[in-house]
Amino acid sequence: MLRRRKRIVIVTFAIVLATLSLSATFTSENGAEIINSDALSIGDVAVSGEFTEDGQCIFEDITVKTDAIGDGNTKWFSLGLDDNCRLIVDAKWVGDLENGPAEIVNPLLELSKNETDVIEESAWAEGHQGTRFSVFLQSCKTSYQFVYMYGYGGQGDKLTKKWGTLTFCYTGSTATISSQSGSCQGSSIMWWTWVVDGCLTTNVVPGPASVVSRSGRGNYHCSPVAQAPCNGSDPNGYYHNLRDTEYGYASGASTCSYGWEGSIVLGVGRQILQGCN
Amino acid sequence: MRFVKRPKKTATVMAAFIAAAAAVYALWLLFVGQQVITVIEGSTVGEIGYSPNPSAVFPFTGALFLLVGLWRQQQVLSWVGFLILAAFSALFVFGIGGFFVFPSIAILAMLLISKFAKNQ
Repeated sequence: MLRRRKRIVIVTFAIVLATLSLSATFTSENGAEIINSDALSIGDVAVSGEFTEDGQCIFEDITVKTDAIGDGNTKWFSLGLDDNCRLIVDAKWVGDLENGPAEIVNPLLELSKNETDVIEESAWAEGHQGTRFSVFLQSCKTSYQFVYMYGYGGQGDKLTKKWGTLTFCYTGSTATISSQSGSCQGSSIMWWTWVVDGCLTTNVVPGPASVVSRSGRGNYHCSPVAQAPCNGSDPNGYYHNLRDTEYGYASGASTCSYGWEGSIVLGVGRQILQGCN
Repeated sequence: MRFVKRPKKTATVMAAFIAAAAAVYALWLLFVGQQVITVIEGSTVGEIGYSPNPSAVFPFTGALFLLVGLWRQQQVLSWVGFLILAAFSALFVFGIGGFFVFPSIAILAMLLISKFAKNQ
């Protein structure tokens, strides 16, 4: 019997979107009904269910879709179940879970230890008179690293630079890249220049998969190759590359690696600017 | 000529001018930065900009010591300032140290002249 109003918050993530949809499964029966969360306003009826003989409220599979917002933010869509077995839109917001209305968010936070938890059907059902559904929560994470080649002045003497960033969304079972990019930098000093010969994305594993990743590479040299100080390497020109790879895992973990090849002045270093943990 | 008659003073003044120019350029590197070329992955076009370099605090400090040493006629302070500037030029020679190589050589020459030359 439905005696209380119940809420389902379905979390969707900006970037994955148009292709990735998140679903809240109530009772799995016939095909999926698609709810376009962007077309609905608060108070709208998203979908109507049916009462069974024993008073349970049954829905077909429901899929919620939303458009990407493209900046790594999380888009939240909350449906409340009323006494007439209808799912009513009762909140929409962008940002962290905690940014949502307290009366919706707090019960969810009690059920899930963190945003990546899947609220189990049994756990929800136990306190809600046997109504069956699961809520899948996702979150997104960014990893950002900076790789550089330095000279005899040490870490403060950065000569060529490479950045790489990966933003991915994860559910606990899969990860998907929502955005990724990289850049390279050289510099001009007196009569010589640290030239960027090429800046490439060498590999992308977009997911959905248990592990997603992106790799980039920057190719550099010192010009003019035959003049000091560029002629200090053998062969002349300090031709080298800097590489970065960022990984995202379904669990929400992320790692970053880096490497280099060729002639460098003294060493290669790396700074983690965000994530990579 | 007056320069020849007073080489010591002339060398000191020239050293001070060079040190002041080095200090101003170090400040420029510190707050505006050196010219850099940034290329986005997949692009063949670079964007020119400026990137501040915190390491420029060393040549600025060296040049400041030099100026104060020359102004107060404290040779030890002048030489310490020169050594900071020269060491920075040598260590950072592949990067912004390159900007201070010639000023360092010129300042060394001026300091030596002011130390050993005799006014006529």
